[in-house]
Amino acid sequence: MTTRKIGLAALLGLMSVFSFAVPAMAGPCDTGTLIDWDADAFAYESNYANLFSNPASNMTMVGVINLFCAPLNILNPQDPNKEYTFIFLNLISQGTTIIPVGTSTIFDTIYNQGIFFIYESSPRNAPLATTPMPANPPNATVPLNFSDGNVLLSGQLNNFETTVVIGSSESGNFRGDYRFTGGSLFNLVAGQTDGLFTGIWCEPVIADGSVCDVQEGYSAHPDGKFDVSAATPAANSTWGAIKAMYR
Amino acid sequence: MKRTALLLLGALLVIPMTASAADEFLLGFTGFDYETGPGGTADPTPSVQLQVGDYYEAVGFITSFGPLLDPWTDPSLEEYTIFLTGLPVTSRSFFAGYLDCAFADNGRVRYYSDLIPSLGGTPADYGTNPRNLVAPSTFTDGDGTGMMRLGGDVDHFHLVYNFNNNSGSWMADVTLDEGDYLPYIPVQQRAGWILGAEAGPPNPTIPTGYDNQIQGECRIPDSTPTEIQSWGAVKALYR
Repeated sequence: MTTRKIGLAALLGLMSVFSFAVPAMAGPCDTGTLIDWDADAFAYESNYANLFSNPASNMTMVGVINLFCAPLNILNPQDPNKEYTFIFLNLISQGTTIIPVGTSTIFDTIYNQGIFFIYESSPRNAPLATTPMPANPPNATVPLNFSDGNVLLSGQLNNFETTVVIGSSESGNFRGDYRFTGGSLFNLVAGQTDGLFTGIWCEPVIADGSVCDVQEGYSAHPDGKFDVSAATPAANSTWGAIKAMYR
Repeated sequence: MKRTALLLLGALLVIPMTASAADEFLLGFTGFDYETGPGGTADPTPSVQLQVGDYYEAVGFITSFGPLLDPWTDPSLEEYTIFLTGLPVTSRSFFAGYLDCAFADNGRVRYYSDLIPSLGGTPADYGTNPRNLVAPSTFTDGDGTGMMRLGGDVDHFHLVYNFNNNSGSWMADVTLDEGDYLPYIPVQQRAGWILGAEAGPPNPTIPTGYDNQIQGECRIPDSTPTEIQSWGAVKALYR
C-alpha cells in the first residue's frame, strides 16, 4: 500500500515542479467551514442513560481536529508531530424532551451556555476511535490528553441543542452558536461575530446497538464543524504587511 | 456434559473481554444538498421542501478517511468528492415544526478522486441552482480526469428537519458494491454501512439553489459487540 503512495507521489511530484502550491484540502473549506473534525470526537455526561440527558447533567465533549480553513489554515492537522484537540465544558442539560413526528420519535435536549478550548500539543497523545477510546470518562487520558498544550482559541458556546431521531432509521444532529473570546490565535478571528457550530450527533441506541457503538461511559459521537461567521473577519496588521500583499 | 463444556467455552470467551464496541469509520464529508425532479430535471415543486416525488441529491468533499482507505489516499495530491443521488421522497409529514421524510430504496452514493487542481485536476465547483454545468459533473469527474473509487446502494434513507432551529439530519444504510477501492473493503464488511449527515441551517455560504450544508460520515457498527457478564447471567441465557 505504501508503494502505491510513493509511486503516486513520485509521478505527481514531477508534475508539481512547475505548479503553484495551493492549500491542501481547499475544497472542503468551500462550504464555509472554519474547523472540522470527523471520527475522533466523543461526549459524555454526568447523568445520562438511554437517550435521556437528565436536567442538570453536565456534558463534556472532546475531539481531534482534522481540518482548518482560512484564516486558520496556517495550522496543519496532518503534521505527525502535532495534535490539535478541543474540549467543551460545563454544558448543563435542561433535560431531554420527546416529540413524536410521523413515524419518528424526536429526543431533543437543550444545554445552557458552555465554554471551549482548542489546543495545539506535541507529541500526539489523545486516544482515538481506533485506539480505542478508554471507557468510563473521566479517566487517565480523557479529558486530560485533549486539554494539554497551548490554547490556540477559547470561547463560549450558546444555544447548544441536540436532536436524535428514532424511527425507521436513526439519525441525529447538534447545533449551537460559538463565539471566540481568547487564545494565542485570537487575533486571526477577532473580527468574527457568533458562528454556527453544527454536525452529526450519534447516540448509542441500546435496543439494537446499531447506531453508534461508542465505548462504555460515552453518551454520543459528534462529527461536526465550526462554520465561518457571517461577519467578515479582520486581523491586526502593519502597513508593511498590507503593502506586501500588492507587490 | 456437552452443554457444560459449551457454557464454559462461551464464558471464557466472553467474560474476560471488556466492552470494546467501536464503530469503524470509512470517511467523513462536507458539502451541500439540493432537490431535483426525476432524472436530474428541475425541482417540480421549488416552493415546497422535499415534496413527495422530489429527488434528493448532494455533492461535497471528503474531509478524512478511516483505516480502511487512509493507506490508499493522499489529500495533498488528490481531491476526493462525494455524490449522492437517486432518492425520491415517498412520504412526508410535518408536525410541530419538524419535517419527516422517507425515501425510496436503491439510491446510490459514489466517492470519486481527481488530481488536485495544481496537478492538472479539475476543481469541483458547486456553481448555483443545481443541477448546473459544473455540479454534479465536476464532483463526479465527468471530464475524465478523475475516477469513481467506491460506490454503494443506499436504502432506508430517512430525513428529519427541525424548522424551529433550522437544522436536521438524515441517515441511510449502504452496501458497498462498486469501484476500484472495493477490494480494500473486507467482503464481510461491504454491507451494513451507515451513511449519515447533519443538514445544517441556511447561512451566507450556501450557494443559490442549494438547500443545506451537509456534514456527515460513513461508518459501520462494531461487528462483534461484547459486554461484561457474570457467570449467573451467562448461565441464564441457556435456561
